[in-house]
Amino acid sequence: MRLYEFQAKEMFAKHGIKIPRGRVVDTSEQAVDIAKELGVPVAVKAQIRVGGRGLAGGIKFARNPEEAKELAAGILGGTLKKEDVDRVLVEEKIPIESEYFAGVTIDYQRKALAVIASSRGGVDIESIALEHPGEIVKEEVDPSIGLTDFGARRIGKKVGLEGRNMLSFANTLKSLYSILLGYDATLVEANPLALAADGSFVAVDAKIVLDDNASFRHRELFSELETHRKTPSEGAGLRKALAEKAEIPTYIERGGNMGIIADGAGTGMLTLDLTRDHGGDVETYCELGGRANPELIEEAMKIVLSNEKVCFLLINLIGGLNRMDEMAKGITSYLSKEKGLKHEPGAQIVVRMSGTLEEEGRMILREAGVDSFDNIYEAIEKAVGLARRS
Amino acid sequence: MCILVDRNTRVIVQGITGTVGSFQTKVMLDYGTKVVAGVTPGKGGQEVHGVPVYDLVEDAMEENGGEAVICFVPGPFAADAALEDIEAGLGLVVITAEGVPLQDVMRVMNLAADRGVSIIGPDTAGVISPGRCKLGVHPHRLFMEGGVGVISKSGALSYEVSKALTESGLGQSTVVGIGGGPMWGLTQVDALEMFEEDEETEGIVLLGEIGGTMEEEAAEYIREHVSKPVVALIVGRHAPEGERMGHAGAIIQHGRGLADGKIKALRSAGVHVVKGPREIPNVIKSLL
Repeated sequence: MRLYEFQAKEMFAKHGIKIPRGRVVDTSEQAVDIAKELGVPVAVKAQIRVGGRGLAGGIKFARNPEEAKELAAGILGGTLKKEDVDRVLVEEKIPIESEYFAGVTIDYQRKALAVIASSRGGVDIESIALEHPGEIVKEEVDPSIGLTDFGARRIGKKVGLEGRNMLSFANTLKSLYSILLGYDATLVEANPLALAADGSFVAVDAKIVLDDNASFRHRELFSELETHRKTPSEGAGLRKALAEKAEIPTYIERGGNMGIIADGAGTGMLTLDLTRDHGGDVETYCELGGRANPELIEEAMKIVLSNEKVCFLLINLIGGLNRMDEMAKGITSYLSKEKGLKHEPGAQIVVRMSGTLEEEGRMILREAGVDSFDNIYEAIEKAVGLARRS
Repeated sequence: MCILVDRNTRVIVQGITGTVGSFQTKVMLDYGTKVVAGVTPGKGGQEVHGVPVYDLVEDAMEENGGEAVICFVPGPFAADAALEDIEAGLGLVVITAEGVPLQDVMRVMNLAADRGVSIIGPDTAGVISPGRCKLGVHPHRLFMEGGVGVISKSGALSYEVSKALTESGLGQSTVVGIGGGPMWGLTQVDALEMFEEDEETEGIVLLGEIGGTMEEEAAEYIREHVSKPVVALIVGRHAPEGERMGHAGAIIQHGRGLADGKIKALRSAGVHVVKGPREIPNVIKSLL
């Protein structure tokens, strides 16, 4: 889970990293109050959880409270990078000497923790890598030893800092590192990390990505962060939220008339590729992972088919761990309830089933009057044929 | 021969008393896999399908021996289970769980590397040498003994392709699922190296997907070191950028990790890249 900037900054502050004074608000009136309280030029920053916010117009600067109100009103209630903006962070605009990049992450290839730093902060690390590849310092950290004080100072030296600034930069790195370890984060980043006029470092922006797999170790934190999430009340956003709640690994809507439900990432992508190759127009892509159960596939069908655009649903199952008898039970359970609901006209459904206990699964489907294919191509041709004739 | 597991591999099942562990143990036993012991903490002394259950892996090893383990322990506890396997001296550890915390995976991989232990996974279907040993959850009726080595990130995709091979009379030496990433124990390159050396393997099928750079590294390795014919299928050609496609590692970011780049890299290394499973048997036959 990626944290909002204001949440990440709260965590930074708790760990001794300086952040600009400010507060998150959800109305332009509150924005005025905060700007007045701060009494200095402020930044008004849209709280969304995707990068590239500045270029998209999500960060503005106000010289006075009235301007802050206008800017906040302009940002709030809108959409940026496909996310609804219902909060802005209003904070003091820091007079900056120079901008640094400081981050800690997991290097998946090296299977180690890595500290990444640069004196070319303020743009994303990919851009620094493109424009100033020689000015990125990357140091691997042996997880059994951890980031040492001298190791952090060495990185400070390598980005060109001296004296007190170098020590202060090293302390910031240590704090980022302890957040990464302490909260099972996969990425903790201060960028820009500004060297302020008074010689201190201030995290002007903050990014933390937590490992959802480790949420069981941080239940309180996760539920606290969840309370700040707004669940959309309708449409694609609601369906996506419902899928997430049901722990469906992948749910994507693109714009077409077909839906795909598959039981594995690899076969899911294969089904999508082949369906597109055959001329199918895929609206919804839904993938259940290799450990589905009857309830999960039933819920997936409910969510996918609640989208009126989906008129043709292709279910492609090839189970190892997934048992086809269980999948068939989920499918027939959905269908029996759908008939009760009298959805007219219901979407046409094509099922392909192969793998563990496929005979048992096929039998259950047959008894419910549902035919199923054994061959993936035959199922795709059938589904695309139906969809294209419509 | 075949790679990783064969007729003589003695297998321990971790999490053997759970619903999945018990069901899959039965399937493996019926297939002929030598499951010698199971482990579930607190259930020592019981039996599952005639297999003795122990509290600790080291106890299971001491009384029954064992070379490989398949772990059905759920994500939050899987890393600890794997550390126990490494400490106990097992040489091959299959971690089926998805949802293992990444910092835990990192610790497991580091200890395994220090001790020279092979990890398959996490988030994997495991490995099968058809007709000899199944250390995984494969629907084995789709598989057949033969000369094609299959390497796949996705378990289900390897079933799909093995089904196509089997239906056209082409058996498999070994089918390895390496897992969904983003951190892998055994890599495509490791498996390629094993298949290249394996006498039974005549041709190799590489099943990759979008995200990361593993397929590009495999292409480099094939160019330099693999003399056997390789056919590849890369899925996710139509995946939208920025969306995680089910596997933690399967994501196109900043225009990187695209199927196109991987396909080009593989083609330039002499690999035959196809669009779907049904093309694979004929291409393999034409190359053997």
